[in-house]
Amino acid sequence: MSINSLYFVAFVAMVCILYYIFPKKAKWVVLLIASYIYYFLASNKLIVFLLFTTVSIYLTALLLGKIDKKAKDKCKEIEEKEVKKKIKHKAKTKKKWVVFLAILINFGFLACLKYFNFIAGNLNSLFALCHFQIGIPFQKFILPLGISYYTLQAVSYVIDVYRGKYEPDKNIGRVALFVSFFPQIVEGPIGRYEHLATQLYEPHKFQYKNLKFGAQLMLWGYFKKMVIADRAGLFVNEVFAHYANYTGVTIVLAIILYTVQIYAEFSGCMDIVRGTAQMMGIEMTENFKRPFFSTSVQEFWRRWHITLGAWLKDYIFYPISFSKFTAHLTNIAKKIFRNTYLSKLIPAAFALFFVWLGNGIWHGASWKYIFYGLYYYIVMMIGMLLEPLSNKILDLLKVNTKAFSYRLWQMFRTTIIVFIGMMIFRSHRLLDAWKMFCSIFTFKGIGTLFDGSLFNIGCIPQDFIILIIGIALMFVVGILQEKGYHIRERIAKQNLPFRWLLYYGAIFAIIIFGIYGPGYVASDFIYGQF
Amino acid sequence: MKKLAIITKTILFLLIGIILFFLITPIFIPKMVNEKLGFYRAIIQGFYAEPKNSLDVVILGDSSVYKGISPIKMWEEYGFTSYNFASPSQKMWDNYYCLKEVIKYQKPKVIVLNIDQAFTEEPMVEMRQRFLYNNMPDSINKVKAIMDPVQKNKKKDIATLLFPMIRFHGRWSELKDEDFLLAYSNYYYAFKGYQMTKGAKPYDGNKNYMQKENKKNKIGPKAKEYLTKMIETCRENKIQLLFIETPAPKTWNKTKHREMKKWAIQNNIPFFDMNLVTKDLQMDWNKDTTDKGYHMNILGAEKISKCLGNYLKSQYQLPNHKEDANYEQWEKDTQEYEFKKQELYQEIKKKGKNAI
Amino acid sequence: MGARLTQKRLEEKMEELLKLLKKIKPEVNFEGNEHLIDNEELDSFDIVSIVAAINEEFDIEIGAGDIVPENFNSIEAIYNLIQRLED
Repeated sequence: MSINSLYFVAFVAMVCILYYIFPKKAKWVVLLIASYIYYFLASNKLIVFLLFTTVSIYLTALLLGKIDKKAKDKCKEIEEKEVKKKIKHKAKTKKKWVVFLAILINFGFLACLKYFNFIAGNLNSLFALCHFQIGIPFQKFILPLGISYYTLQAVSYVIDVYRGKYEPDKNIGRVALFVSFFPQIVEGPIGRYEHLATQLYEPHKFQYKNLKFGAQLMLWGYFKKMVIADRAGLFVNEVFAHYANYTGVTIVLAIILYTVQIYAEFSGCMDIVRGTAQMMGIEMTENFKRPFFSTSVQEFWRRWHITLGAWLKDYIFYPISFSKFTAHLTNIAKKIFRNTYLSKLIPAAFALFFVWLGNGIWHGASWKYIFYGLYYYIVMMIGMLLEPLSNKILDLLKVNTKAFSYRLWQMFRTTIIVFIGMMIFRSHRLLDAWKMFCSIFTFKGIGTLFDGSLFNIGCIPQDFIILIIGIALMFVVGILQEKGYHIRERIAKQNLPFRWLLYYGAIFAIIIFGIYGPGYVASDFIYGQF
Repeated sequence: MKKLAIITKTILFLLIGIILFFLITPIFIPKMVNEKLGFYRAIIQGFYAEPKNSLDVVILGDSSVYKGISPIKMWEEYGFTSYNFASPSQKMWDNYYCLKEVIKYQKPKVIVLNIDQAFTEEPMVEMRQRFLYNNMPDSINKVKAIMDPVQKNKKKDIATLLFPMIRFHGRWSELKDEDFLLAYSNYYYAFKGYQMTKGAKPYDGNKNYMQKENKKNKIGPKAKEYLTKMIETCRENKIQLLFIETPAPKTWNKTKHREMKKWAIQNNIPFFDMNLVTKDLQMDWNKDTTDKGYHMNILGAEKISKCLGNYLKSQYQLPNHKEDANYEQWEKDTQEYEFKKQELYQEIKKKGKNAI
Repeated sequence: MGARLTQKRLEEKMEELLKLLKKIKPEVNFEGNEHLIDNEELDSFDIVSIVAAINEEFDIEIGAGDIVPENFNSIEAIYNLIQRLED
């Protein structure tokens, strides 16, 4: 049941109706059952992984709570401060081990299923290099649906309980729902317990506005995914598959269109997911906030796949930043560089390295993705290293950094960096990305813009027109949202004929211009006419 | 807002949406009314464009029918009206559902069924079913036909056959004027389901193909099931049913004839096998076939039509409408037919013997 | 008398914190600002520097679990966090 199938729409409609029919106390159970049906339909037996994760984090959290309570009870009986501290310390160490084990097991599954072949392959090359006669055989694992997403979500729950952010949940059904909530399990957004869980359990009364706004958001998501992303994909797939056949302009266009594709697809899916949840009164975290209006790479990653960035920040960046090792490193840096800019930079650089390594690895099991993460790390480091220098230059040249034109330049610069990142992300191997990058500079390809050969690569001129209109639409919507317009609120204020015209327009734009179905080639019908 | 208002609004919105969807669908269906795409839409829709209860005979079958039998020729010779309700490889079950459609719109005295597809049990693939079902107006019959397990359609195929937008929405970029003009009215087909065919490729095989045996040829249970259903339907509606087989040297043989004859006698249905009378028909295998013996060209079709018309006229009391003012249109259509025929003949003359 | 003394000490502490923050992020106006995180005036690097400085200055241990927007949105919030951890 892929998210852009009629089955999904029908499923959502059913769940919605049941959700509002059932009494208050049972509403969240409807969601839980629906989520498990959805998951089972999609991954069958592999549901055991989800179940295991759920049970493991549920028990871990309870255990953490118990250790805490025991320590507190003991402290009550004892007067001496020193002993109290000792008990607390002991409890903390115990908790640390428990949470460490839980994380290890859950990430262990993820690592085994997702990264086994990658690790095995690299080890094998290493063995071969050392002339060992060992070969780890590759395994064919099928990844459980959404494991990369729900594992992060599950782990965040135990860490937060460990940190004492909230009490462990005593109801396993509620933990199960938090981990498995069906709209988000495939592609996120990666939710947090304190934000999502309460909303999932709370019964939401039927509100026409929620239903309407949710459906509208879904519609916009489907438009982005089916009309824009999948259409751009026709061109992108061909060029990336046979990039050696193409040069300069075509490659650049493919990279730009891939960026459009992945944005329209990912943010479109998020709109579908958030729309689905909103129909039942559940407000999910935004995963995208017009990332292409960012003036720096840092900002881009605060607006692109927001929940992943936030997860990495909370559970990798801060822990590493505040670790004893980093403190040690900071002291050393201070000794060497005194109190200069560099001494401040070093701990951040250290922690950030793991953030971007994590980002890369999370995206997939290959060196390409690792490089993809480190590419952003390197870009950011260079930016931070040069910041004092560039600030001085800007001062000297009296550049008005608040001017719109300067911001435009910053956006342009950021977008170019993102384009290159996307090229790495989409290419099959790192080497391909490098070759593609080089072939951009073969300027002999400029003629392809005018001789019509561009239209033989999966997209005909009419497709480009649709793409241009679609991109323009996303751009206008983006600008309006940047300016703080609530588009759906605005639409709601219009008269009925206009609103319905708009809805039908969107629906039929998807039906007619969407990429779906078995397709049609005139020659299919011309052959064999007897 | 009150609940009732919300529900009414939602239902109204969905209803209008569904109506709009069905309204735009015909625009996207390929308009098969020309040489390039074939005349399949013209043939099927032309049936629905005929005035109600105006046909004396309806002929069901596959390409042997729409390329081999010319209702206009029979009109010219004998003055009764007929129509070819036929599409490529139309199977027995397709014929059954077509028959159901026929009796909804016409009260023919005779249903003629060309039975060469009775020897196949395999349904057509989804794409080929479209020649018939994409051009048939939506009806319960059509839904039943598409969903009938005998078609072996997968869920996806059923969806795309019932909702052709799934397959054809991509045509938005190639829509032409005719896609809009021909979307909402049934195409009037002056040749009454006959596709005038030119080109002559001689049949150079065995002239005595009716002596050949092929033990594998059998009428399967599925074909029999639907043939029986058709017999029942005709009986209920007091329509005479006639089985025929047009001359088909490439595909017909003695075994098939014997099998069919046996089954027809068992079920008390007359069977007119024209392959037995090719000599009387004066079939010229060098000139009369368009593709080495599979299908007829205009020359062959006219010979067959004359013979079949004669058979029908003599066996059934078919009226002659030639003097009836209500059938003026048939005279006009005949003129168009003759004009087109002369064009073809001119072409033949110009290009010589083999160029027809 | 005792209460006044405590009050004075508190003010001193607040001043100290403000000084510390100003040193790290001179361009941000901390006084009366209640949306330091929400408005993205402080980013994660600033937080790391601030936490490191506070840990050293007040001899406490702010951990990763304490890094939530509510604890860093205003100088009062940061101050309260320090108070809590000192107890």
